[in-house]
Amino acid sequence: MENRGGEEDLPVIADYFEETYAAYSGDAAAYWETEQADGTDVLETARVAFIAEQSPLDAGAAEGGVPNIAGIKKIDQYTIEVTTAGYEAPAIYSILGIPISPLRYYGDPALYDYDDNQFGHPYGDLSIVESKTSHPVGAGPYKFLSYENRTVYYEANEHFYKGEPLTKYLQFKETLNSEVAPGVMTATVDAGEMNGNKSNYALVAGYNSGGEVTGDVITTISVDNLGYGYIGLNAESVSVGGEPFSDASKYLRKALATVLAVYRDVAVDTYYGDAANIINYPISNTSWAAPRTTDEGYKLAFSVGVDGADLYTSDMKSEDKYAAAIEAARQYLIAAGYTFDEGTGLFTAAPEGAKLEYEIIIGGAGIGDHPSFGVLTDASAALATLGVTLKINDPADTNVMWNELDAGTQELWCAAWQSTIDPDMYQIYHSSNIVGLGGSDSNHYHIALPELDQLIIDARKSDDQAYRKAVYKQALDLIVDAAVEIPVYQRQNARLFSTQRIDIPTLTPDITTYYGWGADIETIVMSANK
Amino acid sequence: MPIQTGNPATPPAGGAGRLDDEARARSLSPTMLVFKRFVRNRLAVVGTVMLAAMFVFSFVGGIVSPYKQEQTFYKTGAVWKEYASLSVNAEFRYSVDPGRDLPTAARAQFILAMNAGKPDFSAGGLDYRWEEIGEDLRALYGSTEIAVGLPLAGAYTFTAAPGADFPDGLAAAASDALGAGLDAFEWDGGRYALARSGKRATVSALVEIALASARVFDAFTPKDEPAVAEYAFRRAALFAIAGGADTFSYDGRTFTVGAEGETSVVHEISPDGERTEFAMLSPYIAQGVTPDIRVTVAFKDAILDAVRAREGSFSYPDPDGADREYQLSSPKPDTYTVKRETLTQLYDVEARPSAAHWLGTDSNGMDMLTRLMHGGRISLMVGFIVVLIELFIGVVVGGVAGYFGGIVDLCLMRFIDLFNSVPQWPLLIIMGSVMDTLEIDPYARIYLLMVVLGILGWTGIARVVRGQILTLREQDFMVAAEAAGIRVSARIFRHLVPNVMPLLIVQATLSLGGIILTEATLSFLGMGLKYPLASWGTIINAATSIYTMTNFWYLWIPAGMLILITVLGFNFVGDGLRDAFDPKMKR
Amino acid sequence: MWKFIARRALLAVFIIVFGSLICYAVIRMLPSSYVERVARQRSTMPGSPGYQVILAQLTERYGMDRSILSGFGVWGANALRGQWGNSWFFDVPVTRKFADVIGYSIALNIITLFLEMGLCVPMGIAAARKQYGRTDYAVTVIALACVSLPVFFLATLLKYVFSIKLGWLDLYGVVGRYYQQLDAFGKLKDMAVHMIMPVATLTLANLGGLTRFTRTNMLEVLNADYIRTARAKGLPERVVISRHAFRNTLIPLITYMSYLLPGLFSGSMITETLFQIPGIGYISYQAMTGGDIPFAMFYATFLTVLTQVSLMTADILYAAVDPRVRVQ
Repeated sequence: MENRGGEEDLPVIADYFEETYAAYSGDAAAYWETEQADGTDVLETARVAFIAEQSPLDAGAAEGGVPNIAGIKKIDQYTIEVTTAGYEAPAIYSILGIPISPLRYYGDPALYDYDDNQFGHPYGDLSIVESKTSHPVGAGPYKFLSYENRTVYYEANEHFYKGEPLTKYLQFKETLNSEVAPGVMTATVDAGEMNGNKSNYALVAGYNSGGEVTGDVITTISVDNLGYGYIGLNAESVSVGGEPFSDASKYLRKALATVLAVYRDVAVDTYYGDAANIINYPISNTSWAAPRTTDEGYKLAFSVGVDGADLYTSDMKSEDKYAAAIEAARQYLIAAGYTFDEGTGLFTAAPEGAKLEYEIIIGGAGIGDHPSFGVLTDASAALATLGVTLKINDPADTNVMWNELDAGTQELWCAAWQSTIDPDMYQIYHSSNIVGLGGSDSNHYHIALPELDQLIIDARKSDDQAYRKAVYKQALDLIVDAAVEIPVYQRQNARLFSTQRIDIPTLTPDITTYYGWGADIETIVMSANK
Repeated sequence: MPIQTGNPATPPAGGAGRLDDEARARSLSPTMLVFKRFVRNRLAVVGTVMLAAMFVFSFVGGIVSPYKQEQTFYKTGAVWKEYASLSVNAEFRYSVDPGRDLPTAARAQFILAMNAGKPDFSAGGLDYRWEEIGEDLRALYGSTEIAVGLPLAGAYTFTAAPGADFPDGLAAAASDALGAGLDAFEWDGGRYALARSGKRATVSALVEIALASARVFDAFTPKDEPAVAEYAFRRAALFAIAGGADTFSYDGRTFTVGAEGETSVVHEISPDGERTEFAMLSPYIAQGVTPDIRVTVAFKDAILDAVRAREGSFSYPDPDGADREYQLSSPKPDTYTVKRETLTQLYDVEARPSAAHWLGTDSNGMDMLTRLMHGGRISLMVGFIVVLIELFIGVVVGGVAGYFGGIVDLCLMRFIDLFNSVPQWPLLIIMGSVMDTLEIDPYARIYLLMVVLGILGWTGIARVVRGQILTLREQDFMVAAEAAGIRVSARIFRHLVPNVMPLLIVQATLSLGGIILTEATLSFLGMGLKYPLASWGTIINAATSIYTMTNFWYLWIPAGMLILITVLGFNFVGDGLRDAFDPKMKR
Repeated sequence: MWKFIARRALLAVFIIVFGSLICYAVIRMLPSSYVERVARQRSTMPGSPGYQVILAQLTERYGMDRSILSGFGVWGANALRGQWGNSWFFDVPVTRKFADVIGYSIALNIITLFLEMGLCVPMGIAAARKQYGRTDYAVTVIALACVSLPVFFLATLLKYVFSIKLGWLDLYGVVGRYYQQLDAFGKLKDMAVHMIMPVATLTLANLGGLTRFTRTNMLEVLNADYIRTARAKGLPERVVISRHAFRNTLIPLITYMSYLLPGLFSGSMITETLFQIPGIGYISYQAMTGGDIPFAMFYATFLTVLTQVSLMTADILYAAVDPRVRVQ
């Protein structure tokens, strides 16, 4: 206890430790079983818990409160310095993601005096900010005027720090997905974003007189989508003998995965053609940590047989590839302990804990409206020739799929991930985030490999990009080896602009996945106003 | 009871102009009357033919068609697929001594240690050390601690680690090196590292494990590849370059190495002085997408030329001499993807009508004509049965309500109101999800769907029937029927209802088309037919965008025409029936 | 007469109450409710305490933990006092959201109604007068063709012809791009121009019904004896039809029209979505299927009240139009 000059004795961390130690009778294993363990050290965990519990009880703290936060410092008009306790790679983006709001609107400039710890509003009273909830205004290039008639109206913000935008009015109109290109063509709208599939590109090419996607009517800029589609396997429900990561279980999952993976090409090539990439590692191609073809040890997903030999060569015909995949699956299943009947050519029995029938859920709204649907149909037919049933469940209500994912009862499913800028894998692949364990509940694969956990933590704590890339490559190899995810495809988003009405050279240069067309929106000029 | 047939002006059949009892006694039953009048009506016959055609098309056609309705068709198409990739190498690539092992964990720790400037690192319980040999060459050693030394009056006394061999000569060399302030020294062919912490000095034995170089090795000819991949060769070459030497030898052969810009070329000098190109070291790495693709130096050069010229494509001869086109793109800085047109299997989507597919294929690659036939079965069944259900319930309820009036009417009408206040969409969603959960067989779903549609739709008919009956009830023929003592049910259904028939038939006709389309909307929202089953309505719904509508007429026009023919046919039949029932018709 | 009306009104109230109860019960039984969706959304955001925790909080806040009857009771008590609550989806008072969107639907519906009546009734009468003639065939085929094609097809067809190919009209939207800069009259004109295609779509979609209906009715009546008498008397055909025939087609017409008033206030979800009109159709569909109970209940009750009012009026009109019914 420490007497801080106040009336009563206040507890310190040492006390907290004593208490906790006594509560668990010194049993460290029991402590970590109950409290959330995430690889950080005991002291940090204790400190965080201590502050959370004790600060509201501190009479001294409640009164005047803390005058300022030492870790947040203003350097000059445009710079702030934030000090964090420890380094974690994804934290940067969380902190940088805090939006900047103008003081003169949300606060009271008269109440602002940095040196005296006055920050534009009376202490503990945020009513000025709350009163603006229904009229949000930021520090961006355009001011919100109104939302009516399914259109959002904006006006240029003269106080924008890069200068007042050159185009005075901006409108966002609600549009159906399939009408973006026709909308630009008919002058109903000037710019839009559409899904980069074959028929959309053909549609746009048809509007331009040159037959290309960029021409006299529409200019198209395609960027990779920030995210990718995948097929997931639940390690716990698709396993042999109740051991999700034994060799037998991995063989079982690899058998299913090999067959599913070989049919990816047909579906993606048909609907997307050149506009989508089939990816081979469970990470988006847009990430800097994504393995490249030229990296050491790069392999096509699930292209290896039980004996480690490559299944496919570049000049194989599609039918040959399918045959090779089925044969590999057969061998994987035999290695997993399934009984194969040579006479009928079918599997007759599954080992303990495994089944001959598995279900895959896909969110196709009941009408098969999903790019991976073709993959499932073909794979299901192929597996049926071995006597293994892959049942396709396409519920009308996608919530059915999410309910099963939340309950952890799903076997296989189709979904897509949205990537973040930072390739941190903690949320999705760390064992503490398995559904139901109180973490982020995003680890639908139920993957729990101690080695993988350690790699993820290591990578998170370092700021050396080359090091992190090497660590993530190891982690990705582990995930692919556990056969819990089949990455399917990465598509493009096409940004359309009207060549006739927008002065194209004034658009944001170098539009990429991370640098949108609105990044330099203040420079856009309409042709009529050139 | 004898009834006059047709126009009294025409002579009765059988015998010219006879008006005796025999002729008059010939009579036709009411049904035959109606039938004869119906058949004489040309339009009605046309309508019947149309309906019959639709039924034959759907039920018989579905059996005759050689394809299954969910059968997907494939075709071969050319797609630009990734063939190889070239990138500017910014990472260190490892050449590992064959007898040793450098696990990936160690490699990752090496990068960390290198960037932090620390020479020692450990991974997986083993210690390692790296040294800089040249600008982009590092040597990695496994390091084992063999002795610890403590200074004593300027000289060091060493205590050997358990199990380690620490001869005196080594100790002396170590002392000298420590005195000279070195980090590492050589003795008797082996390398040793020194580490100081305070007064203690640790001597570790180094074993060379791997070399890390930013340069990439490529052999010029396939026969030299095994040699180029040898660790000893690479070591010799890399050390030579780092040391600035021009020549080096390996395996009894002599090589020269010279830099040409950013690449270094190794030539082999044969005993009679002939120079042949042997290997190339460059900062570029090119690799094929499958292990069987071999990227030759010439191909690599072709790619580099195209990159430097900022071309989007280039051509390169195949092994059999023919030129082949390759596309170049750069998804990320310093990475170039080379694509080649490959023939690959595709779904035969939206194929134009041809001999194999008379109406082409739909957007999933399934034969359109077969799907129309099977879809017709479902659409026709659903349409007619639902209409019948609606008519039946509606007539009964409406008839009873209209006839009895008073309390009965009141109750039934209010019941209808309550029925109408049930929100349709939520109810359908609930039913859809219940059917999903119970995993009902797709065909059973259709029957349930029909029952539900029928139950939701009878109220309109009931109201119309009731309204009409309210009027008819007071007419004279009803009073006569009551006076004749006819049963109530007979009065309602045999006398009143037939007079409501015309309106009913109109309602039914209109409902038919609407029901077929409602079923399509429900299937679209996932509550009805499950993919890949089809019905005419779902086929039309699938052609949703302007693009599909205008470019692929065969995706929606046939289905629309079929629905139109069915509705028209039913309508003509309905008209014919109405006219046949009504003796006051002009014709 | 008054006793009749009073009894009818009492029944109407009864219907309204029970109808609302049924509606409430059905929405409560939706497989995935509004709170579940919101909880799921919020649980994917960083720093969330997890799906179950959020779900428990929201269930309590939105009152979904009460039983159906007690939940209905609470809602009903508030409704009687005129407090319809805030829409869960849109976070504004239900009445305000309703008032915002209903205007467009009413405008669409009224214009469509007039257009329909103006087109269908004459067409139907013309077809009936020359049964099996060329006009009859033409009208029949057109009417049935409109019934055979889905609404969105008609809409897409119109869009393709008038917007993409001819470029006369905007592809969608209820206002143009210069709307904000126009004066009041300009704004009205802008909206009117944008309503052309939606109205055309709705009219075409409903063409079949009224035309065929009128035709059949006229046919019925034209073959009646009293018409033959009128003709025999030498009355001009025009008088025969308008003075004698038409009145007798009124009863079925009244039945048909009795759903008119509620119909005015409902929207076509598909047309509104296709043309981006912020009408009640799509909003009410969202509310009903998404479990936005305050809005859905308000709208359902509103429609039930309207239906009852118009049915009562219809019943009264039956008696007024047909003297034989009065005797009851």
